[in-house]
Amino acid sequence: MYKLSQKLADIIHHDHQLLPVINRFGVRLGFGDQSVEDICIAHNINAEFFIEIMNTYHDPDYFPRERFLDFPLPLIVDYLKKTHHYYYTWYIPEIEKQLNELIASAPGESNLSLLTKFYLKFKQELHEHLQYEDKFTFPYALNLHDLFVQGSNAKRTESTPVKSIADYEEEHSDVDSKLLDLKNIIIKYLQAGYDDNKCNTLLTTLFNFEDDLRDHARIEDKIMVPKVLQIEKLLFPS
Amino acid sequence: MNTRVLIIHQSAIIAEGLQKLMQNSSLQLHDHLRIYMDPSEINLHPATNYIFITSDLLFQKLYNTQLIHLNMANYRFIKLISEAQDGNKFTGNESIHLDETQNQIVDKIRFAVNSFLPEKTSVIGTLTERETEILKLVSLGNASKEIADKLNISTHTVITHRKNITEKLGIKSISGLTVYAILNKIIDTNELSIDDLI
Repeated sequence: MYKLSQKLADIIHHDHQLLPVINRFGVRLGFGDQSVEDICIAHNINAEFFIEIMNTYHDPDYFPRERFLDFPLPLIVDYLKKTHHYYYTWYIPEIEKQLNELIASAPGESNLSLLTKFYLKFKQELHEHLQYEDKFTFPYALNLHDLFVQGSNAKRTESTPVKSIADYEEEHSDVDSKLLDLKNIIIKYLQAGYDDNKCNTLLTTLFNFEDDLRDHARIEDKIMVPKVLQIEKLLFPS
Repeated sequence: MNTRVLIIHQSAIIAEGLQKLMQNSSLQLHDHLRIYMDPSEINLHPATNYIFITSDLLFQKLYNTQLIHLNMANYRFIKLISEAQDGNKFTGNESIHLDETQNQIVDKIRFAVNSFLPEKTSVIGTLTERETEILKLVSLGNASKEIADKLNISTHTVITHRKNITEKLGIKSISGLTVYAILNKIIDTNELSIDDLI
């Protein structure tokens, strides 16, 4: 497990997949030999939260539920929002670019167009899912948090179609399985008439994206949702 | 077919200790786990798989009185080594040392249990005729109920077939299955627009 006293540079050398994670917190490279703690202080980041996010991202078997549940809800939602932003602005366009390059490497391969079609379907579902959360779920969670913290001074937003956070809990599986399908179609069923290196690049991106999504979904399902449910129970005991 | 684990050992401490350790594990053997001190007391059933965990001392007796009648495909044998072997440690799945951890021991037994399961890999990627037929109908946009009506089988059967198809191909979504069906010419895209399908 990484510790606050460790140099962030050492951690990145150890697991470079954490690069996008530190970016999500607003940390950029060129931090010299500073420890994680010092960097967090300089950037006004909750250091405990930062290191736990790093550790869970690094080790899929590590998930300190109890510790996460102690962090304030806005902190968690903010991280989830930033992750969405990263998907919109980087992962999705990048996958698309790599897919297009792969297809361009094999003119006349009509089967590759099937891949594009399937990808677009996946993208559409992913977009809908992310947008739904950005538009309804996250604001609902934050609004509930405000209500709880400020008592009667805050008003419950009525515009959200979400009745309870529990209503949306099951939505991740479709997106996950489509991504897995996409990988399997490429790995197992598509005859390789294309540039191998371009395909490897795309697959590597898909694998990384899958890991990122898994980690993201875990924080939503196991931390955000239970936290909101807890507030719901306290605010609206029925 | 059932799989039973039989611990055959002259020492009650060792046999019962091992039994306890397995009962407290995730192996879920329940009443398929038995202890014997004398191999000749065992009553083997046909159509049952056996995993024998036994000492060197009793192995020969076990073999002579019991295994000689049994089909080799139906049993696995794990040697239980209680004496310290000077530096010469077996690490394979065919032996258990008394100083191994619960996890190590359980893993070896699980490996033996799993070795009786039918080879799944041999069928991956190859669908039966019926499965291909169902895959085709799924790809063309039919729901399970419609497929059941068309083929005159129960919806439950269709769902089972669909589960097997997904397991074999590693593809879960309908549009993913459609891509597979087109790639493998299970559906004819000359007559149908791909845009409508995926």
